[in-house]
Amino acid sequence: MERRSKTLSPARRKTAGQLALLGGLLLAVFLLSFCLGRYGVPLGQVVKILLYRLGVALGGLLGRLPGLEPGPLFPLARTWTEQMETVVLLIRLPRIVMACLVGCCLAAAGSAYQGIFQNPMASPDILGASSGAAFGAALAILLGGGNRAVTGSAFLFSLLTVGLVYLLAARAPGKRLLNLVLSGIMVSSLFTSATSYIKLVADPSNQLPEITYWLMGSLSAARMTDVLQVLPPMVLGLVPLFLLRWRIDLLTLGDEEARTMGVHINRLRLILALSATLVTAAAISVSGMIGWVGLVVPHLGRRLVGNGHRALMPASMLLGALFLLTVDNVSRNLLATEIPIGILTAFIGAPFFLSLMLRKGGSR
Amino acid sequence: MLDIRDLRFSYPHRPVLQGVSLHLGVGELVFLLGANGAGKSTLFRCVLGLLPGYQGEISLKGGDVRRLSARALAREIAYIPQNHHPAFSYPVLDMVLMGAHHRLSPFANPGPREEAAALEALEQVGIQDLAQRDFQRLSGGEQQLVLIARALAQQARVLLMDEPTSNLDFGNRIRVLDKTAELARQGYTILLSCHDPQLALLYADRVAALHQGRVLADGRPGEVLTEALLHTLYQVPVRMTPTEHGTLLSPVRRHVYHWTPEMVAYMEAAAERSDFYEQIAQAAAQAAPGGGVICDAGCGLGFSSLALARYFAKVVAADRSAEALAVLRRKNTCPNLEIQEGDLFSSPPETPYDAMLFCFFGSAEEILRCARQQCRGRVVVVKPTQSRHRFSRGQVPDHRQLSAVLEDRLTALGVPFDRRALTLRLDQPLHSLEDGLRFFRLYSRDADPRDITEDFVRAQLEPWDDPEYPYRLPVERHVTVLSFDAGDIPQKTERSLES
Repeated sequence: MERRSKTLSPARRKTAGQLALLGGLLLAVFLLSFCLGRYGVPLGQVVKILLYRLGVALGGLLGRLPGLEPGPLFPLARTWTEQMETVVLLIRLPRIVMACLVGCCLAAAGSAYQGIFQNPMASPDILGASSGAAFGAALAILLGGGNRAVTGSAFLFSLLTVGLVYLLAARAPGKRLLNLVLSGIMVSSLFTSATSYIKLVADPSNQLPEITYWLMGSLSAARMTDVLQVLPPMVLGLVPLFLLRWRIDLLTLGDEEARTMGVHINRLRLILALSATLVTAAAISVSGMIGWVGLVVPHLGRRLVGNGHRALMPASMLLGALFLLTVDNVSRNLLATEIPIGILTAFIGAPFFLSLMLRKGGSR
Repeated sequence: MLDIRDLRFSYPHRPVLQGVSLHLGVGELVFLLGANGAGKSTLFRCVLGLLPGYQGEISLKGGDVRRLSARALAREIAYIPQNHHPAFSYPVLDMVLMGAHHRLSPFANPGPREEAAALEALEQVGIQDLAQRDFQRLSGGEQQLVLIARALAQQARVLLMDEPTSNLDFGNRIRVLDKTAELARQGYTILLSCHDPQLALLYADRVAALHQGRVLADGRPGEVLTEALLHTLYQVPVRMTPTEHGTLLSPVRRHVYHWTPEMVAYMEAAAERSDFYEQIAQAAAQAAPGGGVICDAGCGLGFSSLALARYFAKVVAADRSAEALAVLRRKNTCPNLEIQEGDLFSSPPETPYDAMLFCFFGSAEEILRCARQQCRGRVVVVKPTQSRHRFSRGQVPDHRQLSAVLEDRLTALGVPFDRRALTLRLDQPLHSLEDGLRFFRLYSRDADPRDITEDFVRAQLEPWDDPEYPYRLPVERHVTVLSFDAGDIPQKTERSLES
């Protein structure tokens, strides 16, 4: 029979096509982003520079193997200037990669949280990750820490906050998920007010602007070292989210029903929440407060590929990267001075979400 | 296949299951009946391993289910929840695919093999056309079938269905149960909770009735489901009628008479100017000598209760109508008359009554059951001998109210009884001819009011020498007084009540 064959069913094939399209679009925007900026670099040169550097790096790796001496894999003639290479590789590449990573992480965490909480209104902030990170960053700035200290402190406090929320919810009697949401709200507001207090006592000439600027969110400070620093926790979180994505579907059926189908709900939920929190904390610690991505992008994904997390998770990841990269491009190039990306995501995200909500109301 | 032995479970301060034993054979379709809160869901959750803190044993093919992991249990038992709305809606095929979870390794996603199994399950239930549709946009019946298909895709041989029919319309109930019965024939073992005993009669191989945490009855539906059992389970009267299509079950609406102030005034005037109730009280006193505590069951406005107070040490006047009892309360001057509001059948007294009077109240079955349960001495029943209602002209409202029905039943059960026929007067005093007209129109609901003319009324009335009531409507009532010992009523009429 035709349907028993080993090929993908039509619905799956369609989804795979959509995902491939998204990937292609992301690659196009990724390359295009290098051209944008005060110092223009033609697209052809961008591709050549990236290919050349990639070839050199890969060739270097292969060269470590005994008996191989390949040299650069893509022997291209250097038609670009030194300045172009500096701009592309040292200034734009880290920022573009960071935008992709942060967007991908926030969107993935958002769709995971929405599944865990069986609530389409959940976002990565729901367990207090962002308010904890904000407090950590503000505290580090107040104590005169450098860039690295701020990132580290934000990451640490973000995890601590979520841990606190989890512990509090576990101690309260009654419904587990509701407790989590409530204690998330409570602890969040606690840390938010603590952040406000730090802003009050901070030195208004340099510390206060720095805190405020951090809170608005920006990727302008991204260096390659930052990328390498946050990459491990991001990968550590994204891999389980990707591998366990289909099981989120089961979790949304409700605890008892999922359990009767053989799901270890508490274990699964803990792994997912832990991973989602890890990627959120890592993303926020380098980018500052960037709202809305984790809420809006999964919904966009739902529109595109449906609610099944098997397709939704990769779609969210790609869309998140695409969305934040685009918004970051706008924030870099719209005005002469850079607009903090956190402001823009809200500016774009809020109306978008509203229209989504209104349309949903109409069709049901 | 599935064996539940002496299962006990308590929530804090609230025992739910108090020793439930149930055995399900292969290919058996067992209906679990019971009122809300009887413990059906708790039983399910224990079997499904969702409530680990139970006592007793649940074993599957001889092995204790407590030793099985969630994954291993899912291989054996599939749960079909009540129709519900998950937070997110998925395509039908994806819903059914979820049933394959327990067969996959920890990080694997379902592949073509699982997909083929899911499609097969959909085909088995007959809804393969719905595979790509959105679950939430299906009708309730289709959703239930999808959930069944998911359980089949789980490839477990025991199915637990939690009230699969409760949110479905009339036709979908039948369709879903037809499919369920078919699965049982294919060898699936099915335990199904249900709120409709009629469906159990139609579909079940066996019925288990859960009442207050215990199994009250367990057996073939035709043998187990009796009026008495259903009354115990649900606390409402039920009537069973054997037909060529099997036994039909119907709930019985218990009427509470509604007395308007106008009616009360007419009845009071009639009762005060006749010895009708006095005669009944005397007959009761003769039939039940000794003068202990008597219950006037279904006392209504309580004229008979007031009359009984002279002959008995204590009279308990019981009725469901607060309205009627308010009238009695107003008229009551007897210190030994106690008024009890509520349903007689579901609230027995702490000590049985010495005697009971059923005066124009209760069907034969109700009287027998109530008397057996609540009386230790004589039972006196007053029933009309003729079927014709007092003022209706020619129509027969209810044959069951006749004394002959109870007499037949008593004879069939071998209960010795005394029978006395009385002819009593209960004339209706009337203020005027208009008053008479009003009276006839009030009570002749079955007739067109235009048929009741002044001439018709005038022909019925007699003049009277009372200055307040210059007319009266002569009413002669033929009643039968039956009396028997409550202890003679055999146990077997209410076997399930006692067990």
